[in-house]
Amino acid sequence: MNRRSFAAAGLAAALAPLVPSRPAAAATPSSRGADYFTNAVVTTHRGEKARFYADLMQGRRVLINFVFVGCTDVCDSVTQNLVLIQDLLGDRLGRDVFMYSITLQPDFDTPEVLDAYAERFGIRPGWSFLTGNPAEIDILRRRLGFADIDPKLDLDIFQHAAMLRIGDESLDRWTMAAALMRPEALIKAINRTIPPPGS
Amino acid sequence: MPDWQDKLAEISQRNRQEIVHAKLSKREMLRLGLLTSSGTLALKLGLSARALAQSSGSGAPASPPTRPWVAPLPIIPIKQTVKNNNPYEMKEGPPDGTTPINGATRRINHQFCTATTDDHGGYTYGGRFAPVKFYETFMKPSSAKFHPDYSPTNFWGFDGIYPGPCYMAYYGEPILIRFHNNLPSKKSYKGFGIPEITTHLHNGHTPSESDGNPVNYINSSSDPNEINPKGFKDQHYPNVYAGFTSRGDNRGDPTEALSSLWYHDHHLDFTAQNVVKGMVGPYLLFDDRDTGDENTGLRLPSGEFDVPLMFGDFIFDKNCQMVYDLFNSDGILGDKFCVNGAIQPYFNVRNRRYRFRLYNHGPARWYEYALYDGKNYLPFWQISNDGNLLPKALQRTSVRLAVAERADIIIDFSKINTNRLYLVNRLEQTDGRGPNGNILSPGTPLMQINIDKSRTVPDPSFDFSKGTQVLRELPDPDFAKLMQRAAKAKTRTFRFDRTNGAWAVNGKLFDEDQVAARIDQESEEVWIIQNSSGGWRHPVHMHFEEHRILSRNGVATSASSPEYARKDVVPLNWNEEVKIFMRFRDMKGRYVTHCHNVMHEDSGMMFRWDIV
Ligand SMILES: [Cu+2]
Repeated sequence: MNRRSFAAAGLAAALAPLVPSRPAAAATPSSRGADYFTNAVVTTHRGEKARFYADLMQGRRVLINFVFVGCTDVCDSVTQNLVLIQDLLGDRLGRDVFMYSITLQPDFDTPEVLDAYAERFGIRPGWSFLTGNPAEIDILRRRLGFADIDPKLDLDIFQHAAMLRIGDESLDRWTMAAALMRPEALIKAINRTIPPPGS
Repeated sequence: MPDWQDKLAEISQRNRQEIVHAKLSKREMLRLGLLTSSGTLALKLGLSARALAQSSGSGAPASPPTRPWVAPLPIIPIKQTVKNNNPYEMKEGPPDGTTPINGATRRINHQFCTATTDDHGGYTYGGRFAPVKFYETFMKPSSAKFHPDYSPTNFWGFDGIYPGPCYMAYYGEPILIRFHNNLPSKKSYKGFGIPEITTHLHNGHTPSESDGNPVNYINSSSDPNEINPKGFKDQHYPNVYAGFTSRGDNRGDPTEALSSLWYHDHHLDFTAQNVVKGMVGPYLLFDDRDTGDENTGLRLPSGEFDVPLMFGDFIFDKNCQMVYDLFNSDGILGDKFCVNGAIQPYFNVRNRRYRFRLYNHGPARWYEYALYDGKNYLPFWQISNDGNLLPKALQRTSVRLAVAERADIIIDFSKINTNRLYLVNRLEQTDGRGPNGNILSPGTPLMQINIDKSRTVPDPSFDFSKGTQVLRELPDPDFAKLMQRAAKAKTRTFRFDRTNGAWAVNGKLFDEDQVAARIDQESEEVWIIQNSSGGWRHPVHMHFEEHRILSRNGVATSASSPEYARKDVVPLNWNEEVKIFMRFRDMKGRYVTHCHNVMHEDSGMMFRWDIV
C-alpha cells in the first residue's frame, strides 16, 4: 500500500499503530477455525444475524463469492451464472452445500437491498447474501483470498475478483474457480473438490 | 568466520524478512488497524492467509530456524525395474494394455503398445513401441527430516520419498510405469493436497493417454471405483525421438533428443498443492551421444559425478510441518530453500568435473544460479537448456531458471583454487509476481560445496576448457531458414492475462471440454505468446513437443543466447510478446499449455489443444 493509494482511500490522515494481539500460529487445519475465518457477525438478506465461522462455515461445504448490487455488470453475470449452479446443485443446496455471496459494499447493500437483489434472481434457501461491518467484511475478503496483490487494483472495486471459493471446511480442502466459467465446467470443478454424497 | 560468510547469513535472513514484509507491510497493517478500530473484531492472526502462514506478527521468519550447511546433500536414488523386469511381478497383476482416463471414469487402450493374451492366458507385449522395461511406483504418505534441526515432516512421495526416484531411461527402450495411488481416502483426508494423481512427464514426447493430462487423475486405492478398483494407472513412455512418423521409422530425429526431464503431479485445480506436497522427481534420458558413461559418446561426467539437484522452497510450521496457503492464488514462496529435500545442505565433491542438473520445481520461485567463492562468481559451462543439450557448451557465470525450467552445467572443481564455495540464487523475489528485477550480491546461499583438494582423482570426462565439441545439432541449424518456414506457418496468438482476479488465456479460463486449438498432426505453427497481465511474469510451458524461441518483442534470438536452443518453457516477462516455432508430430490426442507458476495454472491459466 503506497501513500498515494492511502490518500485515494481517504485514510492517510488517521493512522494508528496496530500490533497483532499475539503471534500467529501456523495454518494447520486444527488451528484455522474461528481464529482464521473469524466470527464476524454478518446479516443475511433474510435479516438473520450469524457468526461467520460458527454459524456459516464450521463443518460445512461452501461456495463463496463477493458481489455488490451497484456493480450490475460483472456481478450480475456472476450471480446469473451461479443461479445456474444453484439449479445444477439441486437438493444438495442447503443440505450438503451452502452458498454465500458477500457484499463488497456493506454500507449500501443493506439486508433489504440484498433481499430485493436475491428475489430478482430467484435465490433459493441455502444461498445467502451477506452484509456486515465494512472492516470485518474486508478482513473476510482478504482471508478468503479475494484481495489483489496490487494495492491500486485492489482499491478499484470494479476490478474485484469474479472468483468462486470452493471448499470443505471440515477437510480444510479449498480451491478457487472463475465464477464466470461455463456452468457445466464450473459444476465439474465444484464436484471435484466437494463430490456429491455417495460418489 | 570471514566477512563474506556473515554477509551470506545476513542475506539469507533478510530474504526471509522480505517475504514477511512484502505481504504484510506495516502500512497495510495500519490501514487495517484503522478499519478495525471502527469495528469490534479482534484481529488475531494477521490479515490474510499469507500473513498467517508467513508472519509471526513480529516480522520474524515463519519457519523454525535451521543452521546452514549441517545437512548433507541427499542423492536421489535410481529407480529399479520390477523384480527381474518381469511384468508378472507387478502388484495387481501384469499390465493389460489399457489405462484409465477422465478422472478414472473411462478406460482406453494405449496408442503405441498392446497386450495380447497368449495360449497360456498370459500377456505378450507388442505395438509400435512395446515396453521392454517395467516399473511400478507407490505414491504414499511418508515423513522425513528436511533438516537435522527439524523433527520429521509429513509429505506425499513417489515410493514415499521426496524427491521421487530418478529414472534412467534410454532411447530405443520403451518403458511402462505403473503408478499406484496409495494416498489416503479422499473422503476423509484432511489438509492441503488432493489424494488423486495424474503424473506428467515434463518435456516428454508422450502419447496423450500417458501424458498426465490434468483431467486424467486417478482415485486412491482407498477409494475404489468400477473403472479403477485397484487405484493404479499404467503410463507408457516410448522413449523415442520426435519425428518418427515423417521419417517412417521407429527411431525419430536424433537432434530432438531430450536429456533432463522430470515428473510431477498435474491434478486439475490441485497441481500446486500436490507439487508442494512432494510429488516430483527426475527422469533422465540417454542415447549414443549422451550415454551416461563418461568414457563414451560426448564423455559427459557420469555416475556419481552426474547429479540431479531439485530445488524447491517451503514454509514449515513450529512442528516442522509444511504450511500451504490455500487462499493464495498469486504464487506461494517459501523461506526455506531445499536441495533434493534438504534445507541448505552441504555437498562434498572430488577434485574433478561434475555435471549438475539444475531443476527448479517451484511452485512459484525463480532462480538465477551462480557459484560464489567469497569474492567472485566462478565460470562454469552450461550444456543444456530445459534439459536438452545445446549445440555447443556456453561459458557462463550464472544461469536463470523460471519455474519448471532446467539447465545442466559442468563445473570443473579441479580448476577452482579454493576448497569451499556456494551455490547462490541472485534473484530477488518477494511475491508470486515473479522476480522484481533486483540482482542480489552475493545472493541467497542454497548449497555449500566443499572440494576435497587432498587427492587427485581420475577424470575421463570431456574438458570444455581444452576444446569445443558439438553436443547436439539443432533440428533447424539454419536460423534464417527457420524464420522462412515460420513465415509460412499458421499463426495463433495466446494472451496470458488477468481478468477480475482470474488467471486467463485470451480472456478464457481453463475448461477441459473447450479446445482452444485443433492442430493437424505433422504440422508446423507459430505461436505468439503475449503477457498482458501487468507486473506479472509467467513461465509458460507446452506439453508434448519442444519449440524454438524466434523472437522476444520482435528481437530475434541471438545465436550466442542460451535460448538459442530447444525449449519447453518460455519465461514470459513483463509486457513481452514472444514468438515461438512449434511442431506437432507423431501422436494424436489432447494436451495442454499452461503457466508453470502452478498457482496460476490451478486458477485457470491453462488451455487445451488437440492434435487431430
Ligand atoms: Cu503465471
